[in-house]
Amino acid sequence: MRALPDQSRKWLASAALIGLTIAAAGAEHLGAFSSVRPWLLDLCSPGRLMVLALSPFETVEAPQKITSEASLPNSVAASSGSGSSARELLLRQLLIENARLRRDLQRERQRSGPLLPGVESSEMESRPPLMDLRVIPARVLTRQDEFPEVLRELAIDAGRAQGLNRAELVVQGAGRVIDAGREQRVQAGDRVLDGLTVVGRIDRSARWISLVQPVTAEAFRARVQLLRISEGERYPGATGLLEGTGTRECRLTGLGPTDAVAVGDDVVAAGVEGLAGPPLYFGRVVKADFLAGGKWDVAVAPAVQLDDLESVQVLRWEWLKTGASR
Amino acid sequence: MIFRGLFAALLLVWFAEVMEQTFVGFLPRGGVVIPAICVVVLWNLSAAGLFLGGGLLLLDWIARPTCFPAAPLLLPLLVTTFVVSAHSDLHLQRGGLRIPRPLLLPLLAVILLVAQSASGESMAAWSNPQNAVQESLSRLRPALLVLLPTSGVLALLLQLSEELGLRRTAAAGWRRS
Repeated sequence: MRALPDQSRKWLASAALIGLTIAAAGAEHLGAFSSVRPWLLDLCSPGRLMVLALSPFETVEAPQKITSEASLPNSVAASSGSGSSARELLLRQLLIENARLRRDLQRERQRSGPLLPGVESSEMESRPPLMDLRVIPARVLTRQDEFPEVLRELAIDAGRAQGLNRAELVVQGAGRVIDAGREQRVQAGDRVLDGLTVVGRIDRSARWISLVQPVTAEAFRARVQLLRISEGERYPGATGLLEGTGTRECRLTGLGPTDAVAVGDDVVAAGVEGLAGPPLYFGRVVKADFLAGGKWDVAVAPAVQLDDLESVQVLRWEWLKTGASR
Repeated sequence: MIFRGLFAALLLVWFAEVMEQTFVGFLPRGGVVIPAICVVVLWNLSAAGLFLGGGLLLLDWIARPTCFPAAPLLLPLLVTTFVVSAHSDLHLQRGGLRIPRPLLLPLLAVILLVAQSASGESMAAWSNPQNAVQESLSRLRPALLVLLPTSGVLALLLQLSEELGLRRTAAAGWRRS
């Protein structure tokens, strides 16, 4: 059989490539590559980890516990320089804060009695917690300022090797205080736990890479609660379902006709995994129309700025009693 | 020989991808990967090289998709219609246009980057072309700052390897076609 001339082979290769590309565009439109993508991105991970290990730039931190005490230094450290005097100042502030919290706790215990019937407070204290919430820091690998219009997922450099599972919440560390006010004796200028802003949820994980479904993605759903503002204070309001719409805004559904909603209400998580956790902030109500059929049309602007997101944290619940983790 | 070339091409593009993923903030998308893929295609301008380079660009698009795979579509079209059918050892000549050979790689890389940047805008965004072009240009500037020096260095290395006899000249490949 006579071989094809070189020019013809190039045209053949070119035609094959064009055909493959068109087929790939169609398959991508149908979402056929969503399971392949983390695997493809993961192919570069050994090299990326090697370069990171050799480079003088920052590396991924170890997972840390998230408690109000653990988060406190993070927020203060960001604003307090790196000198030893700044560290001493920080230490003093923490000691004062610690003492104040201990005093408040004692007062609360005296006022409300034992936390569980038949169990003394001291006994409760000595018991280990049933659940532990940890955060796994991760860097965002896909720059969002490149193609924000077509954003469907974020790639982060944490995967199954770090124990990540599907559906775990991804948050951004820099948030605001949203569930504490004067009632909790928080005064202006107090350094307290930073609120965590929800970025999205783990959609797919490979060994070293995970894809995050952002809050604005069409398939994103989360149970949320409104925080209503009244006379400068915030009070818990109706609960509903926050749904991504594929645009820059989300939709709030599941609200009853008697529920009160107003523009400017904050939207927070109604518990992580059905349990009260750290304050997780979603965004703010920007549109609240009561429709003729007795339904609410509520739009929420997410607080997270996906465009300049460089690092995130993944929340992990760990069941301490059984040793298993979710 | 074929496997050595294939391995070298895969290693080059893999390393370019690794660098872009590692230094996300410093290396804009396409700034390193596109010139590396152009090297794979222009190394000896064979059908296999073209298929490999185009395939790798397509894989890059699958891993980090934009609205439309403009760059993987444009690469084979540009190479087969303009580069392959040029008949000079020193320059590429099409009609009145005459481009020196060392400039081929940077030029091809810039065209592919522009296509990739333009395809990042959604179809809805192109309803207002002025805004869409401005957005694309704002994305293009930092990427060009990385792509131009990278492709310049790679073009020099390509030329040098040809001078040193490390590769079959592209001109030989073109003459055969």
